Amino acid sequence: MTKWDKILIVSVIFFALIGMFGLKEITANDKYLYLIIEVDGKEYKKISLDGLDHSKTIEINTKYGHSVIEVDGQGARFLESDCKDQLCVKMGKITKANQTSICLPNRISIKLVSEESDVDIVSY
Amino acid sequence: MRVKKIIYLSLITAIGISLHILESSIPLPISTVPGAKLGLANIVNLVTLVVFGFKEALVVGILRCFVAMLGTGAVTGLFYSLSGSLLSTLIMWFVYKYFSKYFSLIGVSVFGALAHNIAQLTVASLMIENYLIFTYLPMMMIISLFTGYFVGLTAIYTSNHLKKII
Repeated sequence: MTKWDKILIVSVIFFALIGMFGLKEITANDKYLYLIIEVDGKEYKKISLDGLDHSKTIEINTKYGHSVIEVDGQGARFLESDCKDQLCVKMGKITKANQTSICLPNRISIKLVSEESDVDIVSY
Repeated sequence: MRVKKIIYLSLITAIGISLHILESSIPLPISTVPGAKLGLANIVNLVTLVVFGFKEALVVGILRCFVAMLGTGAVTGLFYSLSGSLLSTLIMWFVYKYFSKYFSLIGVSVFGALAHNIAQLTVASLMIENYLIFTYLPMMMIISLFTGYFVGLTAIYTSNHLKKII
């Protein structure tokens, strides 16, 4: 291992830490959270987490596969998926704004966004 | 000489395929980064790059991805493994050729692992059109330091012996 290897390793750790702190800044806990479900890059459904006191499940069937997403007042997670690796289910629950969880084989991504609430209740 | 080279390259490709299939059944127990892998198959790319050269490493990398796709059955996985393999071989060749007096093979393989991460995240974000997938990058960089170090160390020992044989 040369001197430059050590410099490389230290600088990678440095940039990764900066990135993590930057992520912590943008994944702030916000009051008005929305869950956006995207299928193949297009918005499929948008749900306000505000006022959801019980969990509900959403089933998505695409030509790539079948997934079940669970939403409650704190966050959302992939409950079931028929993909092979089950990484989206293992990822667990996302609870903060700008966090995202993705099922690559089924091309479904769920993300939480925070917006200034200009309407009182969003119902679907 | 030519036949010997072909035989060694096909042996190396076979080792790469088996490592690729083997590591797809070893998940890393880190739940914050889905899909993190050891990158064992990168050993093969790096050793071929050092012992034979750039063109041979590229061929071995492409063949490995295609045949391993048939073995694991993950067709969408092909795009991720292929893009990662191509970009990491390209970056490793660049670093090895022009900066090998500064970086040992450990540094070269850390560069390769970083390139692998960036290529795969770019392909994933293009496929599902969601750039937020890059939020995984900082954690993946930390993990790729460890896997890159291990891959580099293995490649140093392996290529030293392989160079004597060939």
